[in-house]
Amino acid sequence: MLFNSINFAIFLPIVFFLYWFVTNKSLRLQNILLLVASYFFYGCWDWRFLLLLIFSTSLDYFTGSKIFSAANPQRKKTWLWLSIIINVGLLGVFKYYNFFAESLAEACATIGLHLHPYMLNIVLPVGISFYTFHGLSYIIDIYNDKIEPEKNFINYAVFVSFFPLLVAGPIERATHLLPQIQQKRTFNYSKAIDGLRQILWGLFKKIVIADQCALYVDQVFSSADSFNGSTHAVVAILFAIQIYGDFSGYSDIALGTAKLFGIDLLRNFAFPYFSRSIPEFWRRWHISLSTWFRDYLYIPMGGSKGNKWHRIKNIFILFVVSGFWHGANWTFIIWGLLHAFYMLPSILFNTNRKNLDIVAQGKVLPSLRELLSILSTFALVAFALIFFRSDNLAQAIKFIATIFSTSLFTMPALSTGILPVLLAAFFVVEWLGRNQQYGIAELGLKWPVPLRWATYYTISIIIFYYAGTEKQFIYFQF
Amino acid sequence: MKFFLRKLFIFFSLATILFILLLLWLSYINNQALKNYKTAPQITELYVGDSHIQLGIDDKLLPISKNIAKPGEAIYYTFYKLGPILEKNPSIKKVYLGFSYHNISSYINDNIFGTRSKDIAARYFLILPFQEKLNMIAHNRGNLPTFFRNILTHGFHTFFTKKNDYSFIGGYENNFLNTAANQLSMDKRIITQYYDDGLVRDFSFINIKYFNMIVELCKTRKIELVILNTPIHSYYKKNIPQKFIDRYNSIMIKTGLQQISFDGLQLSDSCFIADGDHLSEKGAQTITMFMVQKDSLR
Repeated sequence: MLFNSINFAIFLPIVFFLYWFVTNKSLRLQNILLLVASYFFYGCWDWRFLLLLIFSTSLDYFTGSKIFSAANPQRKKTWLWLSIIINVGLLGVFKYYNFFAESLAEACATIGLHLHPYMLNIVLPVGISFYTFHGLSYIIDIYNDKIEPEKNFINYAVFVSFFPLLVAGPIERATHLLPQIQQKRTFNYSKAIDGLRQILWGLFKKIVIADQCALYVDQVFSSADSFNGSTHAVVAILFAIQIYGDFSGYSDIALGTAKLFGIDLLRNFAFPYFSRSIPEFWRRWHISLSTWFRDYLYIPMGGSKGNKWHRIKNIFILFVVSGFWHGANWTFIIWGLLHAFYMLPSILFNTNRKNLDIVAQGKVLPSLRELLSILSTFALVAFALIFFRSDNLAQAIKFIATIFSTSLFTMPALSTGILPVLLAAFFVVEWLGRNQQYGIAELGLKWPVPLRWATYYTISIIIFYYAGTEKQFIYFQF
Repeated sequence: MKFFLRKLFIFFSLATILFILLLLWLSYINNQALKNYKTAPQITELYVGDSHIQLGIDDKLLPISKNIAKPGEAIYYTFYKLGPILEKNPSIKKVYLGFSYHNISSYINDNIFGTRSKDIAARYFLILPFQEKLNMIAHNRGNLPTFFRNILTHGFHTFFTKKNDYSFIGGYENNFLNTAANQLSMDKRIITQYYDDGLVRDFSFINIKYFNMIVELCKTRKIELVILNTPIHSYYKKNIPQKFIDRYNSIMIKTGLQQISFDGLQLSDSCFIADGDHLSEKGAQTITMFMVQKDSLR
C-alpha cells in the first residue's frame, strides 16, 4: 500500500477514526490498533514477510531484556552480539547474499577459477533495512544503559512497525519514539492540521516533482545512447531533484501521518539542496540515517577523536557502509566513496562544523558567495547520484563520459514542457520556507482563511492533475 | 477534535461542491457544443466509428461527406454523440457506420469499462446521460485521479478550442506513410482483439445492444444507415475466430442493413499498417477513391 494510492487514502481515515473514537479510552487498545493497522499495512505487500518482521521484533524484544538483566558484562556482550549477528545476518541473507556470491565468483574468475555459486531467488522484504536498524538502535541503547528494555511487547512492536515509518523510515530511536508510545496521546488540533499540511506538501513533492522528473530520468537512463551530453547533464540534475522529492516527500507524508496520531517522528530532511558544503549537506539529508551511523558506527569507532588519518579512515568506513546499506551494488559503494572524498577537505582543514546555521538567515536572497557554494555542493551531489541511479558501474561511467564529451555544448534533446516552471515554483517555496520544518509549514498561516484555503486547493489541484500512476517510492527498494 | 472534523468536513465538502459545479458547468458547455455541432451545408453523409474509419476515409476527397470517427470509439459512445448531431443537422441523410468483427468482441468493452476507459471514456463522459456518467465513475473508481484529469482536460479543450474541434468529434487523420502489414504484429493484434488468456473472447453485448440502438435511431429519424466494414489483411481475416464472423453475419442478416464490406478485398501489404487491421495512408486513399466512384455512380 503506497502513500500515494487510493487504498491508503481509504486506510488512513479508517485507522484515524478507530484510533480517536473507538480505542481512545485505552492506551493499550490504541497501541493494539496501531500494531494491527501496521501489520495490515505491511501485509498488503507480502503477508509472508510479516512473519520475518514479527520474528525480528520478537528477537530484539527478547534479547533487549536479556541484555538488561544479564548478570555480568560478558553475558551482556554475548546477548548483544547474538542479536546483532542475527539481525545483520537476516539483512545479509536477503539483501547481500547474491551480491557477495556474485562478486566472489567474479573475483575467482579473474584468477581462472570458475565458481558457480548458488544464488537465492528471493525478493528483498520491503523495509528490512529500516526495521532492522530500529531494532539495532534499541538493543545497543540498552547495552549502553541509555534506556531500559520495554516490558510491554505491544509497545515495542509498535515502535518497530508503526506504519508511517515501517517501510522507508525515518529510522527512529527508542529514546525518542518509545516514550511517546508508552504515554497516553491526546488529540492536538494544531498538530493534526500541521500533519495534514505536511502530508499535502509530501504528496506534492512526490507526485508533482519527483514523478514528473522521473519521466525524463527513466527515459534517458533506459536509452542513454540516444541522447547527447547536455541531455545527460540535465537528467543528472533532474535525478537529484527526483530523489529529493521522492524521499523527502515520503518522509513528509510519514511525519504528517504520525502527527495525526499524536506522534512526532524524527525529522529526516532539512532542505539539503540549500547546503553550502558537503558536511552541511549530510546534516540535512536523510538525517535519521546519518545520525544513526554517527551514533552507532562513527562514534564507537572513535569518531573525530584521534589524528587526521584516523578520522579520514573512519569517514571512509562510514560512507562505504552507508553506501552499502542502500543496496548490494558497487554503484552504491562508489556513491558512498565519492562522498567520503568530498568530505576530505573539511576533515583536513577542520571546517566540517562550519555552516551550522540556515543559509542567508533573515535575508530574502543569498549572497553570491553563498549561491556559488550552494550550486557547487549541489553539482557534487548530483554527480555522485549518477552512480546511485545507474544499474551498474559501466552504465554510470558511460553516462558520465557522455556528459564530458563535446556534445555537452549542444542543446539538450528533452522537451520538458511545464516542468521547469513547476521546479522553479517548488524551489522558491522551499527557499522561503527553509527555516521551517518543511516548505509550507507556515505558509499562509496569517493569511485570511479563504486565501489560505485557496492555496491548499491550488496545491491539491496540481497534485490531482499529475496523479494517476502510483509510482513506487525509490527508497522502498532499500 | 470536533472542531478539527468540522473544518475537515467543510474543506472537503467545499472542494467536492466546487468540483461537482465545475463538472456540471463543463457538462453544460460540452453538451451545448455537441447540440450546436453544425456541419457544412453541403454535407449529407456522415462517417462514424473508431480508428478504422478515422484512418480509412479521407473526407477531403468526399465533398458531401464528413468523417467524425475517433480512435477507440466504441459503438456505445457513437450512439450518444450521433443523436444530437443528427438532431441539429437535418441535412444529413446517410450515416456510414464502421462496424466490423472486432466491434462485437468483448475486447472493446475495455474501452468502456476496462483499463482503457480512463482515457477513452473521459472524452465522452461530459456528453453522456447522468446515469451513464455514474456508471463510468464506478467503472473507473480505481483510476479516479487520471480519469477526472482526462475529463477536465477534454472538457476545457471544448471551452478553449475553436468551433467543432472537440475531443469527442474526431475526423480523418492518417500519418502512416511507409508502412506494411507484418505477421508478428497481426498475430499480436488478433490475440489482443479476440483472445483472453488463450481463450476465445466472448461477445461485447453492450456494443451489440448500442449497435441496435443506432439502427433504431436512424430508422426513427429516417436516416439511411450503411455499415462499412473496412479492409483487413487476408492473413488477419483468416485468423479471426469463426464465431465472430458467424455472429457478425447473423447481425447483418437480422438487421437487413445495407453493407459495404471490404474485408474480402485483396490489397497490397503497404495498404495496411503493421497490425493488418488498419489502413495506411495509401490504403485510405484507395478505399476513399472507391467511395468517390460509388458516389459518382449514383
